[in-house]
Amino acid sequence: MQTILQTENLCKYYGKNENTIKAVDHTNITVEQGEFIAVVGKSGSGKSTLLHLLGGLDSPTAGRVIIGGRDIFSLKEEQLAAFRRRKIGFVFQSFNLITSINVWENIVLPLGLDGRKADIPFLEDLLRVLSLKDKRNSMPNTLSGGQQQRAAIARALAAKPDIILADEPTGNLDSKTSLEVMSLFKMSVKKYGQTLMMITHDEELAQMADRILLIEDGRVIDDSGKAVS
Amino acid sequence: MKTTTKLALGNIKTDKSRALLTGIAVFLTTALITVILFGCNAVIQNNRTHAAEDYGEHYGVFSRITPEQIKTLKLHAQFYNIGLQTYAAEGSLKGYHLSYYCTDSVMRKLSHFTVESGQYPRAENEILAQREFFQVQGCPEPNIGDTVTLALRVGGEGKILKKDFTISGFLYSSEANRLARRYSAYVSETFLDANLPDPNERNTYAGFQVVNDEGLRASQMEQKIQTLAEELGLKESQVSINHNYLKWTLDPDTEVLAAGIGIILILVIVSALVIYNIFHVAVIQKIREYGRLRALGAGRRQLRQLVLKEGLLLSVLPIPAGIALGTVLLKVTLRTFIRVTSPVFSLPLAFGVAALSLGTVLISIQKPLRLAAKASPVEAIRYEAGGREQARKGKTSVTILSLTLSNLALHKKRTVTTILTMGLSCVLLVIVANLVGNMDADRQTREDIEHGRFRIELNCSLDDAAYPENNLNEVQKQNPLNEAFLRQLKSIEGVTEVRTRKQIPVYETNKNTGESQYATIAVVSKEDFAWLERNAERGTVDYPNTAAQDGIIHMWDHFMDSEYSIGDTFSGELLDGDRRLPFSAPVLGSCGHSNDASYTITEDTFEKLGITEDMTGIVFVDCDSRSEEAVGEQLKQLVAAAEHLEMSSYSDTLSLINHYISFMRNGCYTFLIILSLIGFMNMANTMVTNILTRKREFGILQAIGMSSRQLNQMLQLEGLVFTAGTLFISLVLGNLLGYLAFCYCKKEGFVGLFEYHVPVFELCVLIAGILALQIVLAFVLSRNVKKESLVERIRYQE
Repeated sequence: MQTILQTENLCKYYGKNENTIKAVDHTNITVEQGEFIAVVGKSGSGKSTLLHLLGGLDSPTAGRVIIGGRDIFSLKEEQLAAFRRRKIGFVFQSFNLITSINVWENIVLPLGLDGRKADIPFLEDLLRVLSLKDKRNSMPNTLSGGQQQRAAIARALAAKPDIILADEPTGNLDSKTSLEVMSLFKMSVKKYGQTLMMITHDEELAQMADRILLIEDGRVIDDSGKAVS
Repeated sequence: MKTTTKLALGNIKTDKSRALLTGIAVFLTTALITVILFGCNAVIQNNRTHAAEDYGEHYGVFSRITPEQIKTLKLHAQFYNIGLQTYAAEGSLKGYHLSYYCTDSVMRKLSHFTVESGQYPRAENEILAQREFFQVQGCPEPNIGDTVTLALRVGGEGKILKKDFTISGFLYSSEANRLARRYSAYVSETFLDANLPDPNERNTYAGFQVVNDEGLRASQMEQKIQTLAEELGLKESQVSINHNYLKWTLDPDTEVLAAGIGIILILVIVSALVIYNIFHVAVIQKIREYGRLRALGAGRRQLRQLVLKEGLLLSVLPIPAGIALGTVLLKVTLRTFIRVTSPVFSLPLAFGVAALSLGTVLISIQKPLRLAAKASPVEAIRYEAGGREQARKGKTSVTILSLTLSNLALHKKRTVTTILTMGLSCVLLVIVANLVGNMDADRQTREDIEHGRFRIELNCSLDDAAYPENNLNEVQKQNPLNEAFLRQLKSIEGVTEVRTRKQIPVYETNKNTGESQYATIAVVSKEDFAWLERNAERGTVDYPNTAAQDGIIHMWDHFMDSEYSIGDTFSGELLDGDRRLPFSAPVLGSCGHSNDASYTITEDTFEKLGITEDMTGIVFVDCDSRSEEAVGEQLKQLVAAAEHLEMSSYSDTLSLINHYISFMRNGCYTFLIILSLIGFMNMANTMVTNILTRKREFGILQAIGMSSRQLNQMLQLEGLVFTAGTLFISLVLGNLLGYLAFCYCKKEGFVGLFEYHVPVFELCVLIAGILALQIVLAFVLSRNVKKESLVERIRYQE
């Protein structure tokens, strides 16, 4: 399999001297295309920071993130924005839909920003799979939590990104809806050949992944409990 | 410290940008209220103090008063401080209006007569005047004690005499006198007794004050003076009331106060909207926190107190700071531009300003306060900012434009209040622009010089018994403005047009009053009649009607009631050289401005009169702009060579008018500068609030791939919608109110206000200013937003 994502000595520190907090500390990970990786760890272990760095939302103190053979932090700001909307799909815990536009418009927003035309049959299919067909004209704040998260997933998938980065996508959902969302994720990843990295606190959900990354104090720990470097 | 106070302080510390914005809004509002309230107070105080200096303390003046009437006046219980001024002589110098007066000590006191150096004349040969009075009469460096020989006609009649005078002192020079070429000199009572011994031959004015035990207002006092004048047997035309002094001393300053209150009202509404916006957004964003506080056991009252305390804490510093800034700003501008010297600061008013600002804050946080108090632990978690819209038919694809518009549409209330706030900030600017932009010095000048660049006219008397050859009808027998003279004018290089207007001397007998006097009738062409139509006050003033009825138009509207009514018949004798032609015509209308004649008829009517002499009275000369100076010089020589001619130029008259207008314009501009400064700051504040409170939304958009350029585009588009809305409100409402203000000021006789036109230039500056502000702000703010990392923004107040 082909390596799609790789980090080299990735570091993100906050504060100075004794007060330095190492949110991400010399992390080296390699992700193959089509992999489903669950990222687990305690609160404050640096999971979210790592995910933000991987998606180019935050800049590292040191180290590199290489996606598809390119160091994403060597890109100019405009290029990085374009890269994000083409290659990466984000799903946040708090859904983060834009409240002023309806579900369909939220889904096609990354495409619109890229000046691309929407692939209507593909999106119709996506809506059907995600059971959002009859909600396409609804405003986000009229939807239930599960529906909002499904819409956010649809938005992340709409641009057919290579990588989906999900930060506790089921954190705000009940267990039944969580399972539903997870199976949708798995199905779409399989169907469209995408890579999924998902932060979760839920053991059961983590077990559904191909691989589990355990983060502790900003470092990736292997099965033996040692930091991987 | 109470827990709610601690929490309020904590909130302010964590949300510094909101605290800063609210603080700035309160600060600017306070500053502007201070400027307006203190300004009104200073102007009122100043007017009271200076009314006496500027207009004199006499309640009125009776002119052409007889010695018997003076005696009665002095014995009358209702009058006191009676001062007399007598027209002693008329100077004789071509192109200048020189007058000699004798003023008694009471009149000098009443009129605040001040001498720059020396003293008021006592001996018969002593004289007091401005230095320029002597300079124009051939004494380049006059000094006190110098002897000068001056040519004058005692009482304005009789032969020209040459008399020696000793300069007893000087009056202050005045630019207005210099431009108008009009000077007055003062002589002693001994001079009067020696040269005009018969009091019945003197033209005397009496200034006076009137007992006001009843506490009458200005208009009632004017009525009382008119009634007293009637008792003394004086005609209405002999009574001149010192309206300005009476208004400032007897009336409360309702107009200044009303204008001040109106402006303050708009300010309070604008800033209340700004503060409401800031707090409303903040409360919505914090609703979960309020919900948590409720869950922890905080009562509704405590939540209300929390928001209230935040509001109060945010006003503690900005209010006194605003008062300080307003006071300094006002002091500097008043001193610099309109020379108001009254003290500006007043402690009771400062408390008033503080109360007003605090009141504004309290009113504007009422709704956010109730909203916070309503937060319930359950609902709070579900509360999300957004409209009540269930669904909307969207578009297949999303563009930056559609995203912007849908956002504005969803937050209708915020969009409307922002536009309203910004619009109202600009309304005042547009109103002032309507006044300043409509002050037309050119038009005011055209009242005098109707055509072209120069005006040459006959300088004649009408009723001079001692020198009858100087009377208009005599001069017209060998009119210096004859065909040959006109040909000479036309042959001057650069002259493009020469127009003439006829003036007929008339001896009129008013059948109502029985008075007979000499006057002039202007003969006006069809084209020039348009000017009369524009200034028409009563009756029908149009050429076809006046020509058809062979009617006459009265040029002094304010004498209409005492002399004629519409439909009366004017009757008199036209003086055609030595001939006297009986003439009568129906009075059809009246005009508010004189064209140097008392009456006007049409050219059609003139043709029927059978006049044989050359009646040309005024010549207007136009030339191309390059030759203006050369033509002016040649005309001066021609006029100097001929007798009975007088010349004035457009450019000289224009600078005189500009001198008068500049005072008012400076005042308006001062106000405009302060207003735009604070108005623009207010607008900037509104836009900053609007953007900073949406950091999270921008963060999400950027996380899913919106580039900085696109974010900038979105902000610019939003700004454009705000700008368009602002301009719509400010232009529609501002121009409407501006027009009303224009009409009012025109009616009150402000200089330079004639025809209303939309002040395009001023409005273009305003539009450009708002556009520039919006573009710069959107650019700066989008950079500012970018400073924080995306992650920080997505988490912003989560």
